Amino acid sequence: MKYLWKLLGIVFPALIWVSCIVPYEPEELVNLDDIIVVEGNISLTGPFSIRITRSTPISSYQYGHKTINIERNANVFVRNRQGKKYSPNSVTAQGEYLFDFSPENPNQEEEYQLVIESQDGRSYETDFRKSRHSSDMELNYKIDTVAEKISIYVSSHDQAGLSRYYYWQYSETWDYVSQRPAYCYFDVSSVKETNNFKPWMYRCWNSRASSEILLVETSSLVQDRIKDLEIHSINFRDIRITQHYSIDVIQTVLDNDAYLYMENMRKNSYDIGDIFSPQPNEISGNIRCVTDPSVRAIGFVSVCNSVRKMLFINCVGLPGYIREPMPPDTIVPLDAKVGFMLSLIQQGYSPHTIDPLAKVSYWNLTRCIDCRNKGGKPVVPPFWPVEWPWF
Amino acid sequence: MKRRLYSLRHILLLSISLSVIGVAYAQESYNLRYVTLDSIVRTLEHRTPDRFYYAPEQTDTLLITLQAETGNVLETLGRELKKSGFSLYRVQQHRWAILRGTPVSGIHEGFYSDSMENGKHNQEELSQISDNGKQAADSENRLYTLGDPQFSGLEGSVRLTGYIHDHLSGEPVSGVTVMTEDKKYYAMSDSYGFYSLSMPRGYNTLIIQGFGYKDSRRYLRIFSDSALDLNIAEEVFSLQGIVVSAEKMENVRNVRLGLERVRADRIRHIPMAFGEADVIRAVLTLPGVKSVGEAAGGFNVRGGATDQNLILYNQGTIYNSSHLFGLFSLFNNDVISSLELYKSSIPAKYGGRISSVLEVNSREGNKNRFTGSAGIGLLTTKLTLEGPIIKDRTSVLIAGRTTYSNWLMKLIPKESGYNNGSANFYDLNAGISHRFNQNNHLFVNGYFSRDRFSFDPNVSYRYQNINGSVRYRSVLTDRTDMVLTLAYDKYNYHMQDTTNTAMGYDMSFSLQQVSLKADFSTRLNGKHKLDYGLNAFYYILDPGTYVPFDHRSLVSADILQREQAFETALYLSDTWEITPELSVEMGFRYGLYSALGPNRHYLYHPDKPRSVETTIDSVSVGAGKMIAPYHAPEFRVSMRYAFTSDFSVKAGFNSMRQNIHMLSNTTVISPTDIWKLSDANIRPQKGWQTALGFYKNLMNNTLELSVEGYYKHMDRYLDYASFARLLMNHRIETDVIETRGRAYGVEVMLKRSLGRLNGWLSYTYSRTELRQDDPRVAEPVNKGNWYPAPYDKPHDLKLVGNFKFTHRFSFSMNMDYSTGRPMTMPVGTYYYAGGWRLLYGDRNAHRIPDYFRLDISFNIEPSHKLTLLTHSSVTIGVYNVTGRKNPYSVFFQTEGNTVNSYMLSIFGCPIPYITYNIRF
Repeated sequence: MKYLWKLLGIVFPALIWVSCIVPYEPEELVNLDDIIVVEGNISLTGPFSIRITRSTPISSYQYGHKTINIERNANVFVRNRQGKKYSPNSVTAQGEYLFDFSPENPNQEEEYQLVIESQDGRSYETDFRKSRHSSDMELNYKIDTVAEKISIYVSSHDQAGLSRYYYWQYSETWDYVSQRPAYCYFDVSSVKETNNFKPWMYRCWNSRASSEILLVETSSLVQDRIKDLEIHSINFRDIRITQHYSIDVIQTVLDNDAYLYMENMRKNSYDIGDIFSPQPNEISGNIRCVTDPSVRAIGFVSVCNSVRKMLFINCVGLPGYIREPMPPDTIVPLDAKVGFMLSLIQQGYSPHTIDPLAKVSYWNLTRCIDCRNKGGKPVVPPFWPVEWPWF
Repeated sequence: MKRRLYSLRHILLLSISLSVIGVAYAQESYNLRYVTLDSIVRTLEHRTPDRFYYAPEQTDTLLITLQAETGNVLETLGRELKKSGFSLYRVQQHRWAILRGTPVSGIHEGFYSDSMENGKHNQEELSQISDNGKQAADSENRLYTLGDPQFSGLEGSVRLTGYIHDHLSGEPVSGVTVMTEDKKYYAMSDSYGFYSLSMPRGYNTLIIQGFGYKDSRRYLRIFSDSALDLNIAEEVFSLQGIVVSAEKMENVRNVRLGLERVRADRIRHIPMAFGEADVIRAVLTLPGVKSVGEAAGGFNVRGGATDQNLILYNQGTIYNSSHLFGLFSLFNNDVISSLELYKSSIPAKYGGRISSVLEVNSREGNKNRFTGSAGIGLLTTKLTLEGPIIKDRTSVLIAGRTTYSNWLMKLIPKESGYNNGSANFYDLNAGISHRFNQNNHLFVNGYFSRDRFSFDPNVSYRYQNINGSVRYRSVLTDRTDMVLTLAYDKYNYHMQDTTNTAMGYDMSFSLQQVSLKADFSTRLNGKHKLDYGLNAFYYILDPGTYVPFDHRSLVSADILQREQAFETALYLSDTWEITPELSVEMGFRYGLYSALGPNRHYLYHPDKPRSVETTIDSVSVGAGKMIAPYHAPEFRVSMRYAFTSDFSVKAGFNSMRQNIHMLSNTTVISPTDIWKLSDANIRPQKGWQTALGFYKNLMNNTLELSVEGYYKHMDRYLDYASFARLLMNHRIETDVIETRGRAYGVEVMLKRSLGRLNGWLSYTYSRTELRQDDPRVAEPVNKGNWYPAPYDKPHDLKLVGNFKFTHRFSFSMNMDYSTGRPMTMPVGTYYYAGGWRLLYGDRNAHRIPDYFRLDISFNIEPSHKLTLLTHSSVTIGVYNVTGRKNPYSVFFQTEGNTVNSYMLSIFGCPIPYITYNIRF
């Protein structure tokens, strides 16, 4: 037996990498592109947007960047059963058709559909739908020092019990500061001090829209109530919660079939690759091509009202992300040659302090000095709370 | 070479060489050089009416040269024998004895009924002979006289029945061939060790062959229908390739097509992941059996779905056959005696599934002394104890197995999200067998297993299998025997999710089955064997109970209504040996099935897709009332024509029905699959298969070649709609789609059952396609066209081999190549809901890369010294030696602005393992 355990001791470490997920290059790809994609929901009580894009071949995304194929010149309108049409007010550069016909007081009991006459001459329609009930939403958060994360929760309650199918989207905005405040900067040919001791490129703002598809149905619950459902969590070491953080959540109440459509999209996007994962599957939305029934269309357009809320969290004092060790400063005479300073800039160094007595400047790594290096911009978003620093 | 080995080692003292080396004779002359006495005797007995009796121990080193004509052959033989110190002695006409030394002057009358070897009987043998007037024959050197001598003058055939037991443990041995020397008359022992052989009246030599057992023979003089039990000894020395087997003849002679038998000790030698010998994994090495992937629970037989296999364990039905995501099956190999897989010709006594029957039986336990075994592997540890309660009458067997596999979960890729979980299982087997007397046996078996796993601390799953069966076997008359079976099976699972406190739930599913079977078997005369009986089943299915996890949960308790059903079937089948060449098995089964009330169900518009909107009525049915009876005949026909003793052609047709369906939204059997009974809205599945096969034994019966082709059709297989909700669905019928299936293929297998090098090589070409052509389905998969089933893998090459260096050391390997399974590929991308999404094309239109795996193991068998207190065996092996990253799945993901494709490998590297087993 002794001998056996010795052997096991050798065998066990060898087992550490049993299974793995590796990149895989498929040999042949069939492409089905240029299918119309319609995203957005009709609202009778406020502004809403419908975005029309086109699907793109998968092979073009195999490597590198891709852009959204937008369709800006379609004729898009909302129509009710009586044939009354509501047209968009404007079209944005992102292909969003902006509507707001709430001032016209559309009949809440009426059924509405979206009609698209696309650039290629095809005509698409959604089915007629009634406006969905909507329910209010509350946001809160918890700082979990054990799991070292901040969790954001959503709660909602519909007394009438008519909402049932919930869908959330969110975007986050946060600020962060660079590791080393710089009170000078290199400008064209020389190192210059900043004005009023305001640090240079010290605080940046960044934002990200979530691509998660968050869905919950409450039909199996006693009440139509969502209680403290965690929709997002951020680890303490994440740069997003080193200073200030805000999250903007949109809650939409869907129909059963719209819910199933989104749920399928969620499964196709995230529930794949597991041992028990089913094969991905396409299901049709509620848009069909009237001029040619064989033409596919993507998207589900409901008639519903969204609730939008923001949550702000002051994270100053949390452990924050782990900062990288900075090398010793490089000392550069203020009258050093421009070429030398430019080469330092190219090597990824920036000045941060001027010593006027010694007539030298101290330089260090740009990525520790310039906040733009971590993806943000030193531009304050308009909704930023006034009590939080704006620079 | 072979003969030299033989004479050098003197190992097989009792076995009789089949190899006739150096035989060359013309029509009327004998020219045999340096051959064994056996060969000479065989040649002479083949050509002349003369019969010879001798003691093989005395003559096995004898090599004789015989050059003679027909007229003087006996004279010459006598002369040659004399040179070696033997004499040929005429006993009566055409009866000759070969004895050492000079002939005795006279032989007493009882010579034939006594041993040729001056009585080599021990006390035990004599006591067995006197037991119930039945004989147990252990001696190879004795002529057994059976039956009533007053029939001695008659012609025709008689029937010999009896049990075959292991010489040491007293356990019955199944799958042992008993045949007459000319191979014309043939029988195989069933799972009770019972055999029934018809043979010509008079002198016969029986050849008894079983895998892992010494080939032996018995000399008989049989006058009328008789009983004879046979004790056979395990083969310890199997170095020589001269052993005739056994299963070899089975392939050619059996009437049925697509029947695979695997013995437990064979399973032990197939290298497995983590060294755990496993029944289901062994089944997967057989041609025509596939699975979706390495971690797949369940298996697919000839294009059938995983739920279309009837898995019987001691006659209890197994609904989830896997432990630990399918890495192990729930059968503990230490207690398994054998498995039989019916892929094509399914006996009429089985029904209820449309694809195959896997019958697994456990051992009965040692009847002579208390023994046990224990094993330790990388993931499991197990203990088996067995022994007699009443010697020779009652034996008991208890086995347990548990795992310490939590560490395995840590090895699962982080991306899969499972590595934060835990998983473990245990199972228990218990069995008692009791022999009232020679004709009445009782078997009681119990099985319990429990699995528990969680992927993260808030979500946990557990499931359990409970099976209990009581079997009573009685030999009613010489020609009829009966088996009564009462079995209870339960499969249930629980699922808990407390990720969000307010939505925390506990969901459970349960399926119970009670079955009563009466199976009779009657041998009418030498030509007909009738099997008939009655099966009755009662199902209780609780499809879902959904309750709040605790008081903080807002979940409203929901209980789906209980489903109940009964199923009865009568069957009759006749195995008719029309001529020794032509045999037919004709089976007929008539089943009646109905779901039972109390029940409330909906009726839907017949021409529209089923939904809440197309409901036209709801019906309430009272307790015990039939809801929707379905009844239909099933036909099982197969025939065999043997052109020669080693070449036959078989053809068969089977029709089957299945009343219980598995609904799964995964491609493998998973713990969240639900079963559904047929009812007013869900019709039973039906299927038929037709097959044709050619069977040829090559190279003096050492190699078996078989080619089988089949076409299979399945109807009303339940697939689900893309957006289906399978759990807690009150109207499951609105989410399922009746699907048609077709499968066809050819299986070629080359097998060498015994010898130093044994194993099989098989190649299968097969296709399996499904189609949703119900006009009521609004969005059928792939527009209602045929599409490949998830387990459609056209090319499949399997090699299982074992090479014995010495009787203690052997090397095994297992190779598996197959086409990759089908997958659904994206055909485009689009931006939606804040991210890039993939647009998928036709279902299963592409394939993942091919699969190839090679496993090896080195086995050190226990020493055969009987004086040792314990015997230990060690297996050292490597699973997936080449370390090929075999794909289990290929999937696409959008990450930021790019689409990436990945391949998931379950075992992406060589996995070394060691297992240690000890027997005491």
